[in-house]
Amino acid sequence: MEFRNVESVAIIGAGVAGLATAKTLLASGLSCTIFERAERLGGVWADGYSNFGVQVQKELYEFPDWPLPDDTPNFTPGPIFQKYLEAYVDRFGVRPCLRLGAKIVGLRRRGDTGWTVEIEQNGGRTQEEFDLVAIATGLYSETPNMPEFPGQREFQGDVLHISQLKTRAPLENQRVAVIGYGKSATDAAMEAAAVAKETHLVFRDVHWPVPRNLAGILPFKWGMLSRMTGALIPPYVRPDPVARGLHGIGKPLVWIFWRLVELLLYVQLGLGTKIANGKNLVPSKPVDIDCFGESTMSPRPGLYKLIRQGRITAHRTEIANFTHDGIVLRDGDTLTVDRVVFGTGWKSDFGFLPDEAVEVLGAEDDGFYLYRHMLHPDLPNLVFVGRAATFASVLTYSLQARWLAEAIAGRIALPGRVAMLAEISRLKDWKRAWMPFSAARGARLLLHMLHYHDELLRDFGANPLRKRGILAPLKELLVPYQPSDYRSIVAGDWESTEGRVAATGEAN
Amino acid sequence: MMTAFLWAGGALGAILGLIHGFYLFRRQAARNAHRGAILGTAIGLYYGVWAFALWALFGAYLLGFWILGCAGYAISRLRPARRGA
Repeated sequence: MEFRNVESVAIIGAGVAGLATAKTLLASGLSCTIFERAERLGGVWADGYSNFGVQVQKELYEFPDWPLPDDTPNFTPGPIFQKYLEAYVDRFGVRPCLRLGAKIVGLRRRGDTGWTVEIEQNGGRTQEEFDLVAIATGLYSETPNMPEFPGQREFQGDVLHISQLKTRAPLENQRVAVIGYGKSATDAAMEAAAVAKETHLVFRDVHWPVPRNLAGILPFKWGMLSRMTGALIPPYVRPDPVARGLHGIGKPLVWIFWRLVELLLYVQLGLGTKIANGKNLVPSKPVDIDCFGESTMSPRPGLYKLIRQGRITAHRTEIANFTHDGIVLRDGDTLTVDRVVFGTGWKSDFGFLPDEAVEVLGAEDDGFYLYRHMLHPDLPNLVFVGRAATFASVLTYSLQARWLAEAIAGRIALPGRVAMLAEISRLKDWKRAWMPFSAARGARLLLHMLHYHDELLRDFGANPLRKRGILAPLKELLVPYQPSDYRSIVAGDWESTEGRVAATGEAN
Repeated sequence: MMTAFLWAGGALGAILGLIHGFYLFRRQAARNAHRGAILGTAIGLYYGVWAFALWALFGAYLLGFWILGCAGYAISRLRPARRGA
Protein backbone atom coordinates (compact mmCIF):
# COMPACT_ATOMS: atom_id res chain seq x y z
CA MET A 1 0.00 0.00 0.00
CA GLU A 2 1.12 3.56 -0.60
CA PHE A 3 -0.27 7.05 -0.58
CA ARG A 4 -0.61 8.27 -4.14
CA ASN A 5 -0.68 11.80 -5.52
CA VAL A 6 -1.45 13.54 -2.26
CA GLU A 7 -1.47 17.31 -2.51
CA SER A 8 -4.67 18.37 -0.79
CA VAL A 9 -5.86 17.04 2.56
CA ALA A 10 -9.22 17.37 4.31
CA ILE A 11 -8.94 17.04 8.08
CA ILE A 12 -12.16 16.35 9.95
CA GLY A 13 -12.05 17.79 13.45
CA ALA A 14 -10.12 20.69 14.96
CA GLY A 15 -9.17 18.99 18.21
CA VAL A 16 -5.66 18.12 19.25
CA ALA A 17 -5.30 15.39 16.60
CA GLY A 18 -6.63 17.54 13.76
CA LEU A 19 -4.45 20.52 14.62
CA ALA A 20 -1.30 18.40 15.00
CA THR A 21 -2.02 16.76 11.64
CA ALA A 22 -2.57 20.09 9.90
CA LYS A 23 0.58 21.63 11.36
CA THR A 24 2.73 18.66 10.35
CA LEU A 25 1.33 18.27 6.85
CA LEU A 26 1.48 22.01 6.17
CA ALA A 27 5.18 21.92 7.06
CA SER A 28 5.54 19.12 4.50
CA GLY A 29 4.15 21.40 1.82
CA LEU A 30 0.64 19.95 1.57
CA SER A 31 -2.53 21.98 1.34
CA CYS A 32 -4.82 21.35 4.33
CA THR A 33 -8.39 22.27 5.19
CA ILE A 34 -9.71 21.53 8.68
CA PHE A 35 -13.46 21.09 8.97
CA GLU A 36 -14.82 21.64 12.47
CA ARG A 37 -18.54 21.51 13.17
CA ALA A 38 -18.27 23.67 16.30
CA GLU A 39 -17.71 27.41 16.21
CA ARG A 40 -14.56 27.08 18.31
CA LEU A 41 -11.47 24.97 17.80
CA GLY A 42 -10.32 22.50 20.41
CA GLY A 43 -12.63 19.48 20.10
CA VAL A 44 -13.28 18.20 23.64
CA TRP A 45 -11.38 21.24 24.95
CA ALA A 46 -13.64 23.73 23.20
CA ASP A 47 -16.45 23.36 25.67
CA GLY A 48 -16.55 20.96 28.61
CA TYR A 49 -18.48 20.28 31.76
CA SER A 50 -18.14 22.27 34.98
CA ASN A 51 -14.51 22.46 36.14
CA PHE A 52 -13.22 20.12 33.44
CA GLY A 53 -9.51 19.78 32.93
CA VAL A 54 -6.60 17.57 31.99
CA GLN A 55 -6.23 14.58 34.31
CA VAL A 56 -2.48 14.13 33.94
CA GLN A 57 0.47 16.33 34.87
CA LYS A 58 0.89 19.25 32.48
CA GLU A 59 4.23 18.06 31.12
CA LEU A 60 2.50 14.91 29.84
CA TYR A 61 -0.22 16.76 27.98
CA GLU A 62 1.36 19.26 25.63
CA PHE A 63 2.71 19.35 22.10
CA PRO A 64 6.32 18.17 22.11
CA ASP A 65 7.44 21.16 20.02
CA TRP A 66 5.21 23.75 21.72
CA PRO A 67 5.44 23.45 25.51
CA LEU A 68 2.76 24.91 27.74
CA PRO A 69 3.72 28.29 29.21
CA ASP A 70 5.62 28.00 32.50
CA ASP A 71 2.85 29.65 34.49
CA THR A 72 0.23 27.09 33.40
CA PRO A 73 -1.29 25.38 36.45
CA ASN A 74 -0.59 21.68 36.79
CA PHE A 75 -3.48 19.45 35.60
CA THR A 76 -4.26 22.15 33.07
CA PRO A 77 -7.82 23.48 33.38
CA GLY A 78 -9.85 23.01 30.17
CA PRO A 79 -10.30 26.70 29.26
CA ILE A 80 -6.54 27.33 29.61
CA PHE A 81 -5.80 24.34 27.41
CA GLN A 82 -8.20 25.67 24.77
CA LYS A 83 -6.29 29.00 24.75
CA TYR A 84 -3.05 27.06 24.39
CA LEU A 85 -4.50 25.38 21.29
CA GLU A 86 -5.44 28.81 19.88
CA ALA A 87 -1.83 29.93 20.40
CA TYR A 88 -0.56 26.74 18.72
CA VAL A 89 -2.71 27.40 15.67
CA ASP A 90 -1.31 30.94 15.36
CA ARG A 91 2.28 29.92 16.04
CA PHE A 92 2.34 27.30 13.27
CA GLY A 93 0.21 29.15 10.73
CA VAL A 94 -2.69 26.70 10.89
CA ARG A 95 -5.47 29.28 11.30
CA PRO A 96 -5.98 29.98 7.58
CA CYS A 97 -6.79 26.28 7.12
CA LEU A 98 -9.60 26.32 9.68
CA ARG A 99 -13.24 26.13 8.61
CA LEU A 100 -15.26 26.48 11.82
CA GLY A 101 -18.97 25.71 11.84
CA ALA A 102 -18.47 23.33 8.91
CA LYS A 103 -19.91 19.88 9.47
CA ILE A 104 -18.96 16.95 7.27
CA VAL A 105 -22.12 15.08 6.32
CA GLY A 106 -20.77 12.71 3.70
CA LEU A 107 -17.68 11.20 2.13
CA ARG A 108 -17.56 9.57 -1.30
CA ARG A 109 -14.69 7.84 -3.07
CA ARG A 110 -13.38 9.73 -6.11
CA GLY A 111 -11.69 7.37 -8.50
CA ASP A 112 -8.93 5.17 -7.09
CA THR A 113 -7.55 7.48 -4.49
CA GLY A 114 -9.25 10.78 -3.72
CA TRP A 115 -12.40 11.63 -1.82
CA THR A 116 -15.36 13.95 -2.35
CA VAL A 117 -16.35 15.63 0.89
CA GLU A 118 -19.87 16.95 1.49
CA ILE A 119 -19.96 19.90 3.85
CA GLU A 120 -22.89 21.51 5.66
CA GLN A 121 -22.23 25.12 6.58
CA ASN A 122 -24.42 28.20 7.05
CA GLY A 123 -27.51 26.18 6.21
CA GLY A 124 -26.23 25.11 2.80
CA ARG A 125 -24.42 22.09 1.44
CA THR A 126 -21.35 22.08 -0.79
CA GLN A 127 -18.94 19.49 -2.10
CA GLU A 128 -15.17 19.66 -2.34
CA GLU A 129 -12.55 17.23 -3.57
CA PHE A 130 -9.41 16.17 -1.73
CA ASP A 131 -6.63 13.70 -2.36
CA LEU A 132 -6.60 12.46 1.22
CA VAL A 133 -9.00 12.60 4.16
CA ALA A 134 -7.72 12.50 7.74
CA ILE A 135 -10.44 11.69 10.26
CA ALA A 136 -9.46 13.32 13.54
CA THR A 137 -12.77 13.36 15.38
CA GLY A 138 -11.37 11.51 18.38
CA LEU A 139 -12.81 8.69 20.36
CA TYR A 140 -15.52 10.21 22.45
CA SER A 141 -16.39 13.61 21.11
CA GLU A 142 -19.54 12.87 19.20
CA THR A 143 -22.57 11.55 21.05
CA PRO A 144 -23.25 11.41 24.80
CA ASN A 145 -23.68 7.84 25.96
CA MET A 146 -27.06 7.89 27.75
CA PRO A 147 -28.37 4.49 28.83
CA GLU A 148 -32.16 4.09 29.09
CA PHE A 149 -33.78 2.46 32.12
CA PRO A 150 -37.33 1.31 32.78
CA GLY A 151 -39.51 4.05 34.19
CA GLN A 152 -37.14 6.83 33.12
CA ARG A 153 -39.94 8.78 31.42
CA GLU A 154 -42.02 8.83 34.61
CA PHE A 155 -39.19 10.36 36.64
CA GLN A 156 -40.22 13.89 37.59
CA GLY A 157 -36.71 15.18 38.24
CA ASP A 158 -34.07 15.99 35.64
CA VAL A 159 -31.90 13.51 33.84
CA LEU A 160 -28.69 15.09 32.57
CA HIS A 161 -25.57 13.95 30.79
CA ILE A 162 -22.31 15.28 32.21
CA SER A 163 -21.80 17.28 29.00
CA GLN A 164 -24.89 19.36 29.93
CA LEU A 165 -23.46 20.28 33.30
CA LYS A 166 -21.66 23.48 32.38
CA THR A 167 -21.83 24.92 35.92
CA ARG A 168 -22.67 23.64 39.39
CA ALA A 169 -25.91 25.66 39.45
CA PRO A 170 -28.27 22.79 38.48
CA LEU A 171 -26.96 20.78 41.45
CA GLU A 172 -27.31 23.42 44.18
CA ASN A 173 -29.39 22.21 47.13
CA GLN A 174 -30.56 19.21 45.15
CA ARG A 175 -30.47 15.50 45.89
CA VAL A 176 -28.18 14.20 43.16
CA ALA A 177 -27.32 10.73 41.88
CA VAL A 178 -24.33 10.44 39.58
CA ILE A 179 -24.07 7.28 37.48
CA GLY A 180 -20.67 5.90 36.50
CA TYR A 181 -17.15 5.53 37.87
CA GLY A 182 -14.98 7.13 35.23
CA LYS A 183 -13.28 10.49 35.30
CA SER A 184 -16.34 12.51 34.30
CA ALA A 185 -18.63 10.71 36.77
CA THR A 186 -16.30 11.22 39.73
CA ASP A 187 -15.76 14.85 38.69
CA ALA A 188 -19.54 15.32 38.64
CA ALA A 189 -19.87 13.70 42.07
CA MET A 190 -17.25 16.06 43.47
CA GLU A 191 -18.99 19.07 41.92
CA ALA A 192 -22.25 17.89 43.46
CA ALA A 193 -20.68 17.24 46.86
CA ALA A 194 -19.64 20.89 46.98
CA VAL A 195 -23.17 22.31 46.60
CA ALA A 196 -25.83 19.60 46.66
CA LYS A 197 -27.98 18.54 49.60
CA GLU A 198 -27.15 14.86 49.02
CA THR A 199 -24.80 13.16 46.58
CA HIS A 200 -24.91 9.52 45.54
CA LEU A 201 -22.42 7.86 43.23
CA VAL A 202 -23.81 4.71 41.61
CA PHE A 203 -21.51 2.38 39.70
CA ARG A 204 -21.63 -1.20 38.51
CA ASP A 205 -18.00 -2.00 39.16
CA VAL A 206 -14.98 -0.14 40.41
CA HIS A 207 -11.63 0.23 38.75
CA TRP A 208 -8.16 0.86 40.08
CA PRO A 209 -7.70 4.61 40.19
CA VAL A 210 -4.41 6.26 39.37
CA PRO A 211 -3.55 8.77 42.11
CA ARG A 212 -1.84 11.94 40.97
CA ASN A 213 1.07 11.10 43.27
CA LEU A 214 2.02 7.55 44.22
CA ALA A 215 2.29 7.23 48.01
CA GLY A 216 1.36 10.90 48.03
CA ILE A 217 4.88 11.82 46.91
CA LEU A 218 5.90 10.52 43.50
CA PRO A 219 4.05 11.81 40.40
CA PHE A 220 2.30 8.81 38.86
CA LYS A 221 4.25 9.05 35.59
CA TRP A 222 7.27 7.60 37.44
CA GLY A 223 5.35 4.48 38.20
CA MET A 224 3.58 4.12 34.89
CA LEU A 225 5.40 5.61 31.95
CA SER A 226 8.92 4.26 32.25
CA ARG A 227 10.30 1.39 30.21
CA MET A 228 10.60 -0.68 33.36
CA THR A 229 6.84 -0.53 33.95
CA GLY A 230 6.34 -1.00 30.22
CA ALA A 231 8.14 -4.33 30.51
CA LEU A 232 5.92 -5.46 33.37
CA ILE A 233 2.52 -4.92 31.76
CA PRO A 234 1.07 -7.75 29.63
CA PRO A 235 3.47 -8.10 26.67
CA TYR A 236 2.87 -6.02 23.55
CA VAL A 237 1.53 -7.54 20.36
CA ARG A 238 5.04 -8.55 19.28
CA PRO A 239 7.12 -8.69 22.46
CA ASP A 240 10.90 -8.61 22.47
CA PRO A 241 12.91 -11.47 24.05
CA VAL A 242 13.31 -9.55 27.32
CA ALA A 243 9.55 -9.16 27.76
CA ARG A 244 9.02 -12.78 26.77
CA GLY A 245 11.50 -13.91 29.42
CA LEU A 246 10.05 -11.61 32.04
CA HIS A 247 6.53 -12.91 31.44
CA GLY A 248 7.76 -16.49 31.20
CA ILE A 249 10.25 -17.62 33.82
CA GLY A 250 10.12 -14.17 35.42
CA LYS A 251 6.35 -14.23 35.88
CA PRO A 252 6.53 -14.35 39.71
CA LEU A 253 8.47 -11.07 39.66
CA VAL A 254 5.82 -9.45 37.50
CA TRP A 255 3.10 -10.88 39.73
CA ILE A 256 4.58 -9.57 42.96
CA PHE A 257 5.26 -6.14 41.45
CA TRP A 258 1.59 -5.63 40.61
CA ARG A 259 0.40 -7.01 43.96
CA LEU A 260 2.63 -4.44 45.66
CA VAL A 261 1.13 -1.72 43.45
CA GLU A 262 -2.35 -2.89 44.49
CA LEU A 263 -1.34 -2.81 48.14
CA LEU A 264 0.00 0.72 47.73
CA LEU A 265 -3.24 1.93 46.09
CA TYR A 266 -5.37 0.10 48.65
CA VAL A 267 -3.61 1.78 51.56
CA GLN A 268 -3.11 5.20 49.98
CA LEU A 269 -6.70 5.62 48.82
CA GLY A 270 -8.43 3.60 51.50
CA LEU A 271 -10.15 1.31 49.03
CA GLY A 272 -11.27 -0.99 51.83
CA THR A 273 -13.70 1.72 53.00
CA LYS A 274 -17.15 0.30 53.62
CA ILE A 275 -19.78 1.81 51.33
CA ALA A 276 -23.52 1.14 51.00
CA ASN A 277 -24.61 -2.39 51.91
CA GLY A 278 -21.22 -3.32 53.35
CA LYS A 279 -19.45 -3.33 50.00
CA ASN A 280 -16.06 -1.73 49.37
CA LEU A 281 -14.09 0.00 46.64
CA VAL A 282 -11.65 -2.79 45.83
CA PRO A 283 -11.76 -3.59 42.11
CA SER A 284 -12.46 -7.14 41.03
CA LYS A 285 -9.77 -7.32 38.32
CA PRO A 286 -6.00 -7.25 38.86
CA VAL A 287 -4.58 -3.77 38.38
CA ASP A 288 -2.31 -4.77 35.49
CA ILE A 289 -5.36 -5.85 33.47
CA ASP A 290 -7.94 -3.42 34.83
CA CYS A 291 -5.84 -0.39 33.92
CA PHE A 292 -6.54 -1.16 30.25
CA GLY A 293 -10.31 -0.96 30.74
CA GLU A 294 -12.73 1.76 29.76
CA SER A 295 -12.76 3.69 33.03
CA THR A 296 -9.11 4.20 33.80
CA MET A 297 -8.99 7.49 35.63
CA SER A 298 -6.92 9.71 37.80
CA PRO A 299 -9.45 11.17 40.24
CA ARG A 300 -9.22 14.66 41.64
CA PRO A 301 -7.65 14.67 45.10
CA GLY A 302 -10.26 14.35 47.80
CA LEU A 303 -12.67 11.97 46.10
CA TYR A 304 -12.05 9.06 48.45
CA LYS A 305 -11.98 11.36 51.47
CA LEU A 306 -15.45 12.63 50.54
CA ILE A 307 -16.64 9.02 50.25
CA ARG A 308 -15.15 8.13 53.65
CA GLN A 309 -16.74 11.22 55.19
CA GLY A 310 -20.10 10.23 53.76
CA ARG A 311 -20.46 13.43 51.73
CA ILE A 312 -20.61 11.20 48.69
CA THR A 313 -22.55 7.99 49.28
CA ALA A 314 -21.14 5.29 47.06
CA HIS A 315 -23.35 2.42 45.79
CA ARG A 316 -21.66 -0.49 44.06
CA THR A 317 -24.62 -1.75 42.08
CA GLU A 318 -26.76 -0.91 39.06
CA ILE A 319 -29.93 1.03 38.45
CA ALA A 320 -32.89 -1.32 38.27
CA ASN A 321 -35.45 1.29 37.31
CA PHE A 322 -36.59 4.85 37.79
CA THR A 323 -39.60 5.83 39.88
CA HIS A 324 -41.40 9.16 39.78
CA ASP A 325 -39.12 10.57 42.51
CA GLY A 326 -35.92 8.62 42.28
CA ILE A 327 -34.16 5.42 41.33
CA VAL A 328 -34.33 1.84 42.54
CA LEU A 329 -31.02 0.03 42.71
CA ARG A 330 -30.42 -3.66 42.09
CA ASP A 331 -29.13 -4.16 45.64
CA GLY A 332 -32.58 -3.19 46.92
CA ASP A 333 -31.87 0.41 47.94
CA THR A 334 -34.13 3.21 46.76
CA LEU A 335 -32.71 6.70 46.31
CA THR A 336 -35.00 9.71 46.37
CA VAL A 337 -33.32 12.26 44.12
CA ASP A 338 -34.05 15.41 42.11
CA ARG A 339 -31.28 15.10 39.54
CA VAL A 340 -29.67 12.11 37.89
CA VAL A 341 -26.38 12.85 36.13
CA PHE A 342 -24.98 10.28 33.71
CA GLY A 343 -21.19 10.31 33.73
CA THR A 344 -21.23 7.43 31.32
CA GLY A 345 -19.00 8.88 28.67
CA TRP A 346 -19.39 9.49 24.98
CA LYS A 347 -19.77 7.36 21.89
CA SER A 348 -17.85 7.83 18.70
CA ASP A 349 -19.93 8.20 15.58
CA PHE A 350 -18.67 8.13 12.03
CA GLY A 351 -22.04 8.82 10.43
CA PHE A 352 -20.40 10.65 7.55
CA LEU A 353 -18.62 7.51 6.33
CA PRO A 354 -20.16 5.77 3.34
CA ASP A 355 -21.72 2.34 3.97
CA GLU A 356 -19.00 0.52 2.06
CA ALA A 357 -16.32 2.13 4.25
CA VAL A 358 -18.19 1.13 7.41
CA GLU A 359 -18.41 -2.40 6.06
CA VAL A 360 -14.69 -2.50 5.26
CA LEU A 361 -13.79 -1.28 8.75
CA GLY A 362 -15.88 -4.10 10.17
CA ALA A 363 -16.77 -2.36 13.42
CA GLU A 364 -17.85 -4.76 16.16
CA ASP A 365 -18.86 -4.19 19.77
CA ASP A 366 -15.30 -3.27 20.68
CA GLY A 367 -14.85 -0.85 17.80
CA PHE A 368 -12.72 -1.34 14.72
CA TYR A 369 -9.05 -2.13 14.29
CA LEU A 370 -6.56 -0.41 12.02
CA TYR A 371 -2.99 -0.84 10.87
CA ARG A 372 -0.86 1.19 13.32
CA HIS A 373 -4.22 2.44 14.66
CA MET A 374 -4.43 4.63 11.56
CA LEU A 375 -4.96 2.84 8.25
CA HIS A 376 -7.04 0.21 6.52
CA PRO A 377 -5.62 -1.15 3.26
CA ASP A 378 -9.03 -1.22 1.57
CA LEU A 379 -9.64 2.47 2.20
CA PRO A 380 -6.87 4.15 0.24
CA ASN A 381 -6.03 7.74 1.12
CA LEU A 382 -8.24 7.66 4.20
CA VAL A 383 -6.50 7.84 7.53
CA PHE A 384 -7.56 8.05 11.17
CA VAL A 385 -5.50 10.26 13.45
CA GLY A 386 -6.40 10.28 17.14
CA ARG A 387 -7.86 6.79 17.30
CA ALA A 388 -5.41 5.66 19.94
CA ALA A 389 -6.11 6.17 23.63
CA THR A 390 -2.97 6.76 25.69
CA PHE A 391 -1.99 8.69 28.81
CA ALA A 392 -0.29 11.37 26.71
CA SER A 393 -2.60 11.65 23.76
CA VAL A 394 -1.25 15.01 22.52
CA LEU A 395 2.12 13.32 22.12
CA THR A 396 0.61 10.22 20.52
CA TYR A 397 -1.37 12.25 17.97
CA SER A 398 1.68 14.40 17.19
CA LEU A 399 3.69 11.25 16.47
CA GLN A 400 0.86 9.85 14.36
CA ALA A 401 0.90 13.10 12.36
CA ARG A 402 4.66 12.80 11.85
CA TRP A 403 4.23 9.15 10.79
CA LEU A 404 1.56 10.21 8.30
CA ALA A 405 3.78 12.94 6.83
CA GLU A 406 6.61 10.43 6.44
CA ALA A 407 4.27 7.87 4.86
CA ILE A 408 2.89 10.41 2.38
CA ALA A 409 6.44 11.39 1.47
CA GLY A 410 7.16 7.72 0.74
CA ARG A 411 9.71 7.38 3.53
CA ILE A 412 7.89 4.48 5.16
CA ALA A 413 7.78 1.13 3.44
CA LEU A 414 4.14 0.24 4.07
CA PRO A 415 3.33 -3.45 3.78
CA GLY A 416 1.07 -4.80 1.07
CA ARG A 417 -2.64 -5.41 1.53
CA VAL A 418 -2.35 -9.00 2.74
CA ALA A 419 0.42 -8.25 5.22
CA MET A 420 -1.45 -5.21 6.50
CA LEU A 421 -4.66 -7.20 7.02
CA ALA A 422 -2.64 -9.88 8.83
CA GLU A 423 -1.17 -7.22 11.09
CA ILE A 424 -4.64 -5.84 11.87
CA SER A 425 -5.85 -9.33 12.63
CA ARG A 426 -2.87 -9.94 14.93
CA LEU A 427 -3.61 -6.71 16.80
CA LYS A 428 -7.25 -7.70 17.21
CA ASP A 429 -6.42 -11.20 18.48
CA TRP A 430 -3.84 -9.83 20.87
CA LYS A 431 -6.20 -7.28 22.42
CA ARG A 432 -9.10 -9.67 22.63
CA ALA A 433 -6.94 -12.28 24.34
CA TRP A 434 -6.47 -10.25 27.52
CA MET A 435 -7.64 -6.64 27.38
CA PRO A 436 -10.95 -6.01 29.17
CA PHE A 437 -13.88 -5.39 26.88
CA SER A 438 -14.75 -1.78 26.14
CA ALA A 439 -16.53 -0.08 23.28
CA ALA A 440 -13.23 1.41 22.14
CA ARG A 441 -10.91 -1.55 22.81
CA GLY A 442 -9.76 -1.34 19.20
CA ALA A 443 -8.25 2.06 20.00
CA ARG A 444 -6.97 1.50 23.52
CA LEU A 445 -3.24 1.45 24.24
CA LEU A 446 -2.83 3.30 27.55
CA LEU A 447 0.30 1.95 29.24
CA HIS A 448 1.38 0.42 25.95
CA MET A 449 1.84 3.90 24.51
CA LEU A 450 5.62 3.63 24.74
CA HIS A 451 5.61 0.45 22.66
CA TYR A 452 3.28 2.04 20.12
CA HIS A 453 5.46 5.15 19.88
CA ASP A 454 8.52 2.93 19.40
CA GLU A 455 6.74 1.19 16.55
CA LEU A 456 5.89 4.47 14.81
CA LEU A 457 9.44 5.78 15.15
CA ARG A 458 11.02 2.55 13.91
CA ASP A 459 8.76 2.69 10.84
CA PHE A 460 10.35 5.90 9.67
CA GLY A 461 13.84 5.08 10.79
CA ALA A 462 14.16 7.13 13.99
CA ASN A 463 15.77 5.66 17.09
CA PRO A 464 12.97 4.96 19.61
CA LEU A 465 15.35 5.38 22.54
CA ARG A 466 15.01 9.10 23.19
CA LYS A 467 16.82 9.61 26.48
CA ARG A 468 20.05 11.54 26.17
CA GLY A 469 23.16 12.16 28.24
CA ILE A 470 25.75 10.08 30.01
CA LEU A 471 23.07 8.30 32.09
CA ALA A 472 20.85 7.58 29.09
CA PRO A 473 20.73 3.78 29.65
CA LEU A 474 19.62 4.24 33.26
CA LYS A 475 17.10 6.92 32.24
CA GLU A 476 15.72 4.56 29.60
CA LEU A 477 14.92 2.10 32.35
CA LEU A 478 13.57 4.35 35.07
CA VAL A 479 12.72 7.85 33.86
CA PRO A 480 9.22 8.30 32.46
CA TYR A 481 8.74 9.20 28.84
CA GLN A 482 6.97 12.46 28.08
CA PRO A 483 6.37 14.77 25.10
CA SER A 484 9.63 16.71 25.48
CA ASP A 485 11.56 13.50 24.69
CA TYR A 486 10.13 13.60 21.16
CA ARG A 487 10.65 17.31 20.41
CA SER A 488 12.99 16.85 17.45
CA ILE A 489 10.85 14.05 15.99
CA VAL A 490 7.69 16.12 15.97
CA ALA A 491 9.50 19.25 14.85
CA GLY A 492 10.84 17.21 11.94
CA ASP A 493 14.52 18.11 12.47
CA TRP A 494 15.66 14.83 14.01
CA GLU A 495 17.20 13.45 10.85
CA SER A 496 19.85 16.14 10.60
CA THR A 497 21.11 15.45 14.12
CA GLU A 498 20.41 11.75 14.58
CA GLY A 499 20.40 10.31 11.10
CA ARG A 500 17.85 7.89 9.73
CA VAL A 501 18.21 4.26 10.71
CA ALA A 502 17.23 1.60 8.23
CA ALA A 503 13.92 0.07 9.31
CA THR A 504 14.73 -3.29 10.84
CA GLY A 505 11.31 -4.60 11.69
CA GLU A 506 12.65 -5.51 15.12
CA ALA A 507 10.43 -5.79 18.16
CA ASN A 508 10.42 -3.27 21.00
CA MET B 1 23.37 -18.14 54.72
CA MET B 2 22.60 -14.54 53.77
CA THR B 3 26.05 -14.12 52.23
CA ALA B 4 25.55 -17.24 50.15
CA PHE B 5 22.17 -15.98 48.99
CA LEU B 6 23.63 -12.60 48.01
CA TRP B 7 26.39 -14.32 46.06
CA ALA B 8 23.94 -16.65 44.36
CA GLY B 9 21.64 -13.75 43.46
CA GLY B 10 24.55 -11.67 42.22
CA ALA B 11 25.85 -14.56 40.10
CA LEU B 12 22.44 -15.26 38.63
CA GLY B 13 22.00 -11.54 37.95
CA ALA B 14 25.39 -11.45 36.26
CA ILE B 15 24.43 -14.31 33.94
CA LEU B 16 21.13 -12.69 33.03
CA GLY B 17 22.93 -9.35 32.71
CA LEU B 18 25.39 -10.85 30.25
CA ILE B 19 22.58 -12.17 28.09
CA HIS B 20 20.56 -8.96 28.27
CA GLY B 21 23.68 -6.84 27.84
CA PHE B 22 24.70 -8.72 24.69
CA TYR B 23 21.20 -8.36 23.28
CA LEU B 24 21.20 -4.61 23.97
CA PHE B 25 24.72 -4.23 22.61
CA ARG B 26 23.76 -5.79 19.29
CA ARG B 27 20.61 -3.71 18.93
CA GLN B 28 22.14 -0.40 19.91
CA ALA B 29 25.21 -0.99 17.79
CA ALA B 30 22.94 -1.67 14.81
CA ARG B 31 20.76 1.36 15.52
CA ASN B 32 23.80 3.61 15.74
CA ALA B 33 25.72 2.07 12.87
CA HIS B 34 25.05 5.14 10.70
CA ARG B 35 27.30 7.12 13.10
CA GLY B 36 30.29 5.03 12.11
CA ALA B 37 31.40 1.55 13.10
CA ILE B 38 33.47 2.61 16.12
CA LEU B 39 30.96 5.03 17.64
CA GLY B 40 28.06 2.65 16.95
CA THR B 41 29.90 -0.20 18.67
CA ALA B 42 30.87 2.03 21.59
CA ILE B 43 27.27 3.15 22.15
CA GLY B 44 26.11 -0.45 21.95
CA LEU B 45 28.77 -1.50 24.42
CA TYR B 46 27.82 1.27 26.81
CA TYR B 47 24.18 0.11 26.91
CA GLY B 48 25.29 -3.49 27.28
CA VAL B 49 27.59 -2.72 30.21
CA TRP B 50 24.82 -0.82 31.99
CA ALA B 51 22.44 -3.74 31.60
CA PHE B 52 25.04 -6.15 32.93
CA ALA B 53 25.90 -3.92 35.89
CA LEU B 54 22.27 -3.36 36.93
CA TRP B 55 21.40 -7.04 36.74
CA ALA B 56 24.51 -8.01 38.71
CA LEU B 57 23.93 -5.30 41.32
CA PHE B 58 20.27 -6.06 41.93
CA GLY B 59 20.36 -9.77 41.17
CA ALA B 60 19.98 -10.82 44.82
CA TYR B 61 17.01 -8.50 45.40
CA LEU B 62 15.32 -9.75 42.23
CA LEU B 63 15.94 -13.33 43.25
CA GLY B 64 14.39 -12.60 46.65
CA PHE B 65 11.31 -11.05 45.07
CA TRP B 66 11.14 -13.86 42.55
CA ILE B 67 11.05 -16.47 45.34
CA LEU B 68 8.40 -14.49 47.24
CA GLY B 69 6.48 -14.10 43.98
CA CYS B 70 6.67 -17.85 43.32
CA ALA B 71 5.11 -18.55 46.71
CA GLY B 72 2.44 -15.85 46.35
CA TYR B 73 1.65 -16.71 42.76
CA ALA B 74 1.33 -20.43 43.58
CA ILE B 75 -1.00 -19.69 46.50
CA SER B 76 -3.08 -17.31 44.38
CA ARG B 77 -3.48 -20.00 41.70
CA LEU B 78 -4.48 -22.63 44.23
CA ARG B 79 -6.85 -20.41 46.19
CA PRO B 80 -7.92 -17.37 44.12
CA ALA B 81 -8.23 -14.37 46.43
CA ARG B 82 -11.69 -12.97 46.92
CA ARG B 83 -11.36 -9.45 45.65
CA GLY B 84 -13.65 -6.49 46.17
CA ALA B 85 -17.40 -6.70 46.62
